[in-house]
Amino acid sequence: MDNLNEASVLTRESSSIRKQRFRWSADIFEMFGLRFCARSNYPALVPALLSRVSKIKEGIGPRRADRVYSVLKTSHPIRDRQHASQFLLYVNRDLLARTEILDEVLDCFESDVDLYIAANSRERLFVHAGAVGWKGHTVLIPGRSGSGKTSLVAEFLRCGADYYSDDWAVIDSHGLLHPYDRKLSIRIPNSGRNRIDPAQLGAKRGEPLPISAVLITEYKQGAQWKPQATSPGRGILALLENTPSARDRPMHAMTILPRTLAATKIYESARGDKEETVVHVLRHLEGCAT
Amino acid sequence: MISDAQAGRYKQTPVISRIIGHELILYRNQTHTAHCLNEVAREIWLSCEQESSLAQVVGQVRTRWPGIEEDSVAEALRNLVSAGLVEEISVLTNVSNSRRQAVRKLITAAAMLPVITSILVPTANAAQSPPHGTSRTRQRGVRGRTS
Repeated sequence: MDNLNEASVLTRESSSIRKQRFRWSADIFEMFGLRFCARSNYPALVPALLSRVSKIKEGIGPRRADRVYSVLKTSHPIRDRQHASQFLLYVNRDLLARTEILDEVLDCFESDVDLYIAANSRERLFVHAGAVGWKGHTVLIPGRSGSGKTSLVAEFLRCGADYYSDDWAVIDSHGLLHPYDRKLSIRIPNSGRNRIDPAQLGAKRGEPLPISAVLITEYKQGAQWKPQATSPGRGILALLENTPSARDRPMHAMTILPRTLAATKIYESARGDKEETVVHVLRHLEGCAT
Repeated sequence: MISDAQAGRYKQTPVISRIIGHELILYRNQTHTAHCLNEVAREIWLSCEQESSLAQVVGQVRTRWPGIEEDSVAEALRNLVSAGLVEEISVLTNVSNSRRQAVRKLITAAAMLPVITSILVPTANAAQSPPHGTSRTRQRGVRGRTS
């Protein structure tokens, strides 16, 4: 790890913090052609940050990074001369999070890195989607937060599917789907999220493959999975709606997506029970395989 | 029948276009909207590559779909104009609503209806799942690098 002496990121904080000079522990890593710096005044936090990102090349030079994350661990007085730790997460010069819970800092860091990569990577196209594999076929489930993709992906994995992604599907310039190594982040009502390693569900990491099917679906209480085949054009619109880079680089998305979906089946339906949906989809894929 | 002199003239606006199967996907940078045109709507849009009157567009489309009604082409052009995919040079004034509605029913039955589906492409932040943090986490928007 490198030591960097700099406090310029703290310009928006209180003057008492701003006046301090911190000794930073830092590392620079690269993902999908983008460079990031993670640093902290508390050295043990840097490996904790790096543990949340995957496929990294660490310690690369030169040191110029596209995005700098700084985690500042401070303490503030509470009652009876006790002090509580507080974490401040900055991205470049902006405060991203302030919390007493380390996991929340790490969650925010991971989420911000993912979004930045999704919006800016030129190596791959990132679509907000869950993705799984089954006997040489792959299924993409695009959708915004709360559409139930993660619980659907988890159910696929419990049934023996390979894991590609629960949040970001990665597509290369040839239209192949690649795995994105992240733990599943499953929501638990009233208590945040639970992070689950796909291996705990018995899932293997998927291999790069063309996309066999896109499911345009959203959870609706009481609904039944009654898939209607729809056109590739409708599939492209569904993916464009979930592609963060599409606004800034539409040519990139408009080149890759038609290539990706040229031979893909697109199905649309609301869904209720996830077990029923997954069984139906897997049966359909079995039919395609035979 | 609308005479060529009375009809408006139409021309494509600059967009990114991709053909996929029988459909055409169009992306309009100014409004960050993406549009999917079915085969009939695609033919109508392609007919506006050069500045064209309604009669010229109808003539072009009828080379593939001889039974298509003029009013349905006019309706599709209006939809393309409102989506910003076609520029209208002058205003079309003399298509009666009642006739248009009657023809629309016939066209629906004949499955020759030009269909344009449009979406607004979201900003990067809008496409994000919220981080796992709870109420104690304060967040700011994520600023991405723009190209």
